[in-house]
Amino acid sequence: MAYTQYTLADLEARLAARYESVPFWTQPEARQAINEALCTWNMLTGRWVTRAVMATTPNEYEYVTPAPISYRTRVLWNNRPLSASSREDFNNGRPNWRQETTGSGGAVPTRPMLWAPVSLELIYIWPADLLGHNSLTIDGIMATPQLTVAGDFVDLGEDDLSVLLGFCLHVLTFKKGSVWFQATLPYFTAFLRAAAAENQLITTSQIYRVYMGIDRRDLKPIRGITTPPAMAGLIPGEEG
Amino acid sequence: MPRTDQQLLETLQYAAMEAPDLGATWPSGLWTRDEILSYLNERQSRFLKASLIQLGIATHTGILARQAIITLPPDWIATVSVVWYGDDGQVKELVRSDSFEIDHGQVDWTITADTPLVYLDYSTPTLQLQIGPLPDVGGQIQLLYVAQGAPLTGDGDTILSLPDEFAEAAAKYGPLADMFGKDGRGKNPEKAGYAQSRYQLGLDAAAIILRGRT
Repeated sequence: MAYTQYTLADLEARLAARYESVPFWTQPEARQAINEALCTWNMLTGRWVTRAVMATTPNEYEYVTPAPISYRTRVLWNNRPLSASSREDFNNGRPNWRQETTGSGGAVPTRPMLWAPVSLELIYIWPADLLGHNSLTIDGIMATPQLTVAGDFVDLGEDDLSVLLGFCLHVLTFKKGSVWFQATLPYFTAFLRAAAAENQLITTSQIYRVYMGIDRRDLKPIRGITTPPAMAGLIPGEEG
Repeated sequence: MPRTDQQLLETLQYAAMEAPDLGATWPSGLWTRDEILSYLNERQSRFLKASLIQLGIATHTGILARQAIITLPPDWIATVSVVWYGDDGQVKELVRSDSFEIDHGQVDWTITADTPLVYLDYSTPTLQLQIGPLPDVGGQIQLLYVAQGAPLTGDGDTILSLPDEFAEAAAKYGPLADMFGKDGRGKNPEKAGYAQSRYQLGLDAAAIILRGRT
């Protein structure tokens, strides 16, 4: 199904359709769970993207990404993409990179070629733009839409909606714990699995592997370390 | 939309089955308000330090020749990088080192001035950083560091120093892991273990975003 704009009222109604009788949570809790699902989904998959354009500053290699970008994924200089690198590669490859600009000559390129993420908001480019006033386009993930009133909406596909609502139920049962919480773990693993289908880098996470039951420490014993008892009951089929 | 400290406290109240009142009271007696606030602040700082997603920049100007000690900002938690800008035009990112390495690598570093190569923050008093060798010219230091988040007081005036995407991991599940891991009537290893794993998932996501790997 094509992407649809779901309002908070739509999501609450859809969530209510997934349980019977009187739930053990209130409407504010349900709203918080919906927003938590959206934030976690955006954190894991970077679903909501946006673009910002700023001007380069002469001789400046350090830039702060503007709002509403939460974190950056791609950088272009005058619509020409820069290759991703790292601060460590900059330091190891060209120790004097901070002093190099597009006008340095020699082996230094005449336009910025690389960018390096430093924090969520800070990036370095190399070489620095000597003249400045060129466009620096930042593609990134925008801040997650937060739904507070019934008319607030968010872009979602029907397939995403199913796993998100299951995740909401999982979050809401945390406070009750025990068998009620464990019964919702399949919703959580389905959520993670869907997120991993969007962003395969998540599969490198140790926590992801534990939740998916593919963290087989018993096959690679290291000094007798086993899965923590607190996690044991959470993994289907795993014994403490 | 950044979360206020009171909103965070109320979220924890819901999760702990306490009556929600923006964190003002915790009638079960299992936790106190100050205790919960301390968990929030500690987890916020721990998340910032472990993830490096928010960094502060401080520039120390007017460093004199042969001046080796630099005072760190009061909200400093950890140093990420130190860059020396010498008045002679030299720009160099200093490598992290320790006193043993520099004492044996350059035995006269405390006497002979030269372009700084390293910084030491392990063998200096709190909130001080030392550069070596002694700078032969004046200059300035640009410090990239992990800054402590704004203290969460529960008065509703302070917002979390993290993006919304990481708010649940750091400010909900982190404190919940501490709350349910505390020895006492409120101890719940199942909830504490799950909460800690959700906190760790947030850290893993931050690492993937910054470095492409965990």
